[in-house]
Order: sequence, then structure tokens, then C-alpha cells
Amino acid sequence: MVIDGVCWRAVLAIFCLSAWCTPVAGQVVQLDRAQWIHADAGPQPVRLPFVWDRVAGNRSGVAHLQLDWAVEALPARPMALFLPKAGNAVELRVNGSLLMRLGSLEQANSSDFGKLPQWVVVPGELVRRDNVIDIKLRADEGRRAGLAPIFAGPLDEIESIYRWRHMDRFTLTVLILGLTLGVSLLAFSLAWTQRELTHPDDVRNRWIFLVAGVTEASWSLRLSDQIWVDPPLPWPVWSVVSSAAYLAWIAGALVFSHHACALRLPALRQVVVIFVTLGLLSALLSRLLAWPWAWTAWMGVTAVGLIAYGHWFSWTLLGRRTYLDALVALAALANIGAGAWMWWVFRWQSDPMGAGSSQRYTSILFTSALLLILLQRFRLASVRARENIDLLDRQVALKEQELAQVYRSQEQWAREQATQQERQRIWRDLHDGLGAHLNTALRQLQSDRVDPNSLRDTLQDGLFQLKLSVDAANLPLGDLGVLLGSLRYRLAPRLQAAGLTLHWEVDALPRLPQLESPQALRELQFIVYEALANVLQHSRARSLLVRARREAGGVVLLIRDDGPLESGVSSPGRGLRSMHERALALGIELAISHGQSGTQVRLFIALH
Amino acid sequence: MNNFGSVWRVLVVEDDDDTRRFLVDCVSNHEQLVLAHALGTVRSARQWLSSDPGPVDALLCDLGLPDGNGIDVIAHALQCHPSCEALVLSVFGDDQSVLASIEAGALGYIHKDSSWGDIAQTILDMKAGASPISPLLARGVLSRFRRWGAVPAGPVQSPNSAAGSALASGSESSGLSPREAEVLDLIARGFSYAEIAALQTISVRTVQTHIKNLYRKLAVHSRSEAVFEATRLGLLHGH
Repeated sequence: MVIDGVCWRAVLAIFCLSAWCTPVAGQVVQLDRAQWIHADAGPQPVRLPFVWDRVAGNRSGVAHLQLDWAVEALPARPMALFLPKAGNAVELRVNGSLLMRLGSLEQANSSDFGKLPQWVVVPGELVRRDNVIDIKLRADEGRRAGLAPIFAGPLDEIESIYRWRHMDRFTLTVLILGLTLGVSLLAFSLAWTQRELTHPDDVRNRWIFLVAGVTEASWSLRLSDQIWVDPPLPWPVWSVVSSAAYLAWIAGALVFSHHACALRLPALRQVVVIFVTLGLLSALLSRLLAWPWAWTAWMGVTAVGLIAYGHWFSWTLLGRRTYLDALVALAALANIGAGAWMWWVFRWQSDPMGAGSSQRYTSILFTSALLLILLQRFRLASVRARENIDLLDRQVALKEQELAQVYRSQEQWAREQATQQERQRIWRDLHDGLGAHLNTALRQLQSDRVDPNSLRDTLQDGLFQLKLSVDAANLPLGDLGVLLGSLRYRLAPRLQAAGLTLHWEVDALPRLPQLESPQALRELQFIVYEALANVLQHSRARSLLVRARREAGGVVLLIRDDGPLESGVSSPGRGLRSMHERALALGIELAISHGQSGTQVRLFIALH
Repeated sequence: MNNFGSVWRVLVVEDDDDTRRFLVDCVSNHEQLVLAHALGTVRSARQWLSSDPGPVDALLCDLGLPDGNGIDVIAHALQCHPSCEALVLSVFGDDQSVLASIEAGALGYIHKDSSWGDIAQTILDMKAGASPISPLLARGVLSRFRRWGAVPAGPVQSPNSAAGSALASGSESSGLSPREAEVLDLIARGFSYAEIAALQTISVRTVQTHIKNLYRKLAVHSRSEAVFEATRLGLLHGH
């Protein structure tokens, strides 16, 4: 994205915010001359700002300063004093009256009230034409203790000045802290959402999100030090923690910028590790071993190195002429510049005016760039995920289509198989039934002596077999009752001719799973027909019982005649063997018994 | 005009010459039957029926005619001669083709291999109120009514449908009565008319009458179904 004019103007507007703007107007006077009261050497005139570290060296102590405050006319209203910086702890008296005490003068390395501006109301009755302001400071070693010039004047005007400076030092810092913490949490959350992804781009994104989270969390910690009067750790230790956070922020910003902007710097990791290690070492030397120049020197080296590097970095990114690269370049330049300036002010001046670090403003630029990069990367990752899901959906749909096609093919194949089997059954029926009878009829016609009755019987029997075959094809699946009924219907003339007394006891029967195919129905029809045909052809029975009833677990079919034993089928002929074979194939129990009282064929067809 | 003992005029439609001659002989040789005409195609039969040939009391019709289906002849005959009663000529008497004929208005079937006496008697029985039926045909009729939900709740148990009674509904005029449904079920299980009459405590004649009524109801239902389907599909307007 190319930077347009509006963006440039917005960036310039941010730089126009200045923390050093303190409005002074009306009857407000600035008091910058004081007497430093030594216990042993006596009063010594000093010019404010009073910087403890510069005048006292590497030690802690209490400084007593006395300021003269002349008032031209006695005020009708209360007066007030504004102290831009006074600390680490401070006790303030006007004309001998104690008006303010912040922190303990005795307990070194405790609270630091010098981080925030203070003000105090001076009651009108206390004010004289010539006033003496006594200020005692508790100054901790290396903690930028001191006193900035004091502003004195009417209450309203001093309060206005205080509010302006407080907003800058405290409120704005809290807002920036909130933004930084929010971006940090967002970065960690985004990294968490990517934790299960394995695509190289996602893994890279997760790493960048984590670096961004750590970077912003470090900066949050560093920022909090600027307003935290009572840090959770004692001063020197807390100082090391704060320095480490600053190092982490610089290192994190460096790594993030390189990865996010796809810059390749040789040995970046080694450079960062050396930078952080030496930085930590210098912080420890500076704070814990009372060698402050170590940290100052290292920060100086860092500033020089970053200024040099920042030129190359920014030049490279600006050459790409994209919105995000330009923003990152600008953020880098601003932060490096502010960092170098702060190094000068803090390390060499000890922040004498209590202005705080201006890097908190420039960090907004970097935080914004980081936020945009995070969101852009997350958006691209989401788009890729959606595309992957769409692709997956399309692939699944394709697979489903293929599967459906396979199912259709299989169903088609199964139908063709069933049709083929049915055709084969019909062909076999025609071959064994009608074909055999026609062949027999032909042979009879070709013989020397043609018996018309015999020929008629053969043809009628052939037609009968054909009808049975057609019936079997039309029988409802699983219906034994209709099978028996249709057989009786077809055999009615022969049963009638035989003069048998028929006892027909066919109950309403359940559907039988073993008779769920035309083939099974045809086989059972053959078995029952054989049993009935045996009675008609071989026995001299007078009565015939056909009974089909439901019994435990299935249906029992009973065909019983009263033909004498010698007239029945006494030995297993071809027909009986065929009946047994077919019953076995169907999974039907078949029992045939002969006796003096007749023959009984019993079939048991299970329901399951 | 056709009282008991009267002579019935019979139209024979059969394309096979030998079979047609056999059928003509069956009719001609019986004193109560008179041959109205014997034809071999759908077209000629329809033309003859439309030509005001005098009363036609019975129709013996083959289904597989060279220029179409005999069902068209049956339907046309019933349209031109409402008192005409039709029998289908069938080799097997299988339920599918015969059932389709009955839905078109036929009142039974005759096996082509029947003897001439049986054929004449079947015609006379039909005119006297009895219609032939087989177990397969009975099951087919029952299934058709059951599909329409026109089977009454009652003791009828069908191995084919455990939900038969749940489907039971239908008016007295077009649905099956409990007795008719029982008769159909018994026929399907192979019971003879006499056995059914004994089981139901009715006469054999009543059983036969039931069957003829069933055929008529089936035809009525089929026509209603056809009209309903045609209306639903937008083929007919004004219904």
C-alpha cells in the first residue's frame, strides 16, 4: 500500500505532541535558586534543577534545600506550589509549617515520588511578603533523585499547570500502557489460536505472534516503571528487572520487525543474544555493583548501533513503498531517535525536569504497526483457512459423488446379478420342466406306437410345471400361505380326481425371512409339490392333511396322509433326496416319517 | 331382458385361429350361449362394438393381441355396452395381467387350457353372479386395497403387512367390508369356496357374490385413483 498525504499528516501530528509543554502564565513565578544546607559545610547556593547523582556521587542521602519566595502583595486567595519533580521522598515546609510529606526520608530505596509531579496548597494566612520554603529530599543512589524548579502562584493557576503535567505523565502513560497490554494479550491469543496448525506459514505466524506478545509485554513492564511509585521489588532489583524489560523490548522489536517485514539480517539471533546478555550484565553491574557507567555505556553503544542500523533498515523498508513497511520504518526511526535522546537526557542529565521518557509516545507508532501486522497476518491466515475449508468441502463433495457413483454401480451390479440369477432360475425351470416334458412328448411322437393319452398327460404335465414356475415368480416374498394356496389351486383337479378328503388348515402366518427370494419360494414350492405329488402318485391314501401353524420360533408345515406303509415311499428315491437337498440349502428342517397310519412330512421354517 | 335361463350373446376376441375356433365352438355348442362375433384384433373389435351390433352380454378377450392390449377392448366394450361382462383369456391366470384386466373392468379369467365345458360354465357362472379367482389373484386384490388404505380393521391378519389394520379405512361403497377382506384372505391361503362358506357361516353363492363385488370395487377404485392421479398431475381439468 502506498503512503498518501493524509497518512503523512497524521504521523506529523503525533510528533507535534510535546511532553515539555508546560503552560506558565499570570502571577506564577518559577523558583530556581536555592541554598543547599550542609550539616557540616553550611549553606551553599545552587541552581535548580538540583540533581543528586551529579553533586553527591554514588551514594544515598538526604538533601536539605531552602528557597526564598518573595510575594509582592499579600494574597487574598490561597496560594499553591507546583513541584514537577521532587524526590525520591520529599518533605516541604513553608515558613516553618509542614505542608507536604511524601514517602519516608529515612528508609532508603523505598517509594519513589519523584516519578510523578506534585503540588501543595499554601494557606493564605501562611503567606508573607518574604517566605522561606524548606525542602528535604531522600535521595537514593542512581535513582535520579533531585528537585526541579518550583512554580509558585495562585491556587487556580498552579492547579491548572499541575493537571496538565499530570495528564501527560500519568494519564497518558496509563492509556499507552493499556494499549500495549491489550496488543500483547491479542498477540498471545492469536498465537494460541494457531497452536494446532502445522502449515509452515502458520508455524511462522505463531512464532511472530509470540514474539509480538513478549515484546509488548516487556514494554508494558517498562512503561509501568514510569508511574509506579511503589514497585513490587526493592529499588536496585526492580531497576534490573525494568532494564531487562527494556532490553527485551528492543530485542523483540528487532526480531519482530525482521520477521514481519521479511528482512534477512545475517546472524540476527546471535546479535540479539549478545545484545541481551551484555545488556543484562551491564544492568547488574550498574545497579547491584554500583557501577552506573556500565549501563550508560552499554545504552550508548546500543544507541549508536541502532542509529546506524536504523538508517539501513528504514531505507530498505521505505524503498518497498508499502503502507505497513513505511509505518514500521517510521516507528523504528522514531523509537531509535527518542531512545537516543532519552539516553542523553536520562544518563547524562538524570531527567532533571521530571519529564519522563518521550519513548512512550514513539512506542505508540511501533505498537500500531505491530497491531496492524498482527491483524493482517491473522486475516491472511483466516483467509487461507477458509480456502482450505472450501477446498476440503469441494474434495469431500467430490468424494461423496464418487462414493455415490460407486454405490450406484454396486446397486446396478446387484440388480443385474439378481436379474441374471432370476433368468438362470427361469431357464433352469424351463429346461427341467417344460423342456423335459416337450422332449418326452417328441420322443413319444417319434415312437412307433403313439399313445394319445400318454402324450396328452405329458403335455399337460409340462404345462403344469410351467404354471408352477410362473406362480413361483409371482408369489409374494415371505408368504407361505399364498404358496400353499396357489399349489392347492393348481393341484385342485388332481386332488379331486384322486378322491382324497382334504383337510386344509393353513393359519394366517407371519412373514418368513427365509422365503424372501423367488429362488427360495421356488425351492420350497418344489418340496411341497413333491410331498403332495407323492401322496397323489404313490399312496392309496383316503385323506390328506395340510397344516401350517405358527409354533415356537417358526412355522411348522405338516403334510400327512393315511396311506399304508407299503404303498408309500419306503426308500429314499431321487425325489426324496432332492427334497432333503433343497431343504438343507434353504436352512429348513425337513423330517419325513412313514408308518402304518401313513406318511408324514414335517417342515420347520424358522422365523429368524 | 337377460333373465335367468336366457341366452347370452358372447363376443370372442382372440388372435390365434385355433384357439378362437375352439372358443367359438365352446360358445356355439352351448344352448344358453350365442356367438355375437369372433374377432382377432383390437381395432376390429372396437369398430364392431361401436357399430351398434345389438346387445353384448359377455366378452371373452385375449390380452396379447397383435395391434394392442385386450384391456383396451374390455374398457371399450364396457363403455359401449354397460351390461357386458368380460372374462380374460389367460394361459397362466397369473395375478399381474389378470389384475390389470380386473382394474379395467373384467370380472374374471378363463384358462386357455380349460375344457370347453368349463369355459361355457365359467361364462354362465359369471352371468349368474360368480367370478373365478385364484389365491395369487386374491392376494393381489388384497394388496391393492391395502395400498389404498381401504382394508377394514378386523380379524384379518396378513403375513405381508403387520400394519394392515392400522391402514384400515375406507367407505362402505368403495372400501372392503370386513367380510370381504376375510374372504379374500382365506382364498389367498388356499381355502375352497365351500370351506370359506363353512368358516364364515354363509352360502357358497354368497362367497362367489363377494368375489364379483370385490372385482367391481377394485375397478371403481382404480378409476378413481386414475382420475385423482390425473387431476393431481394437472392432466384433467374441471374435476
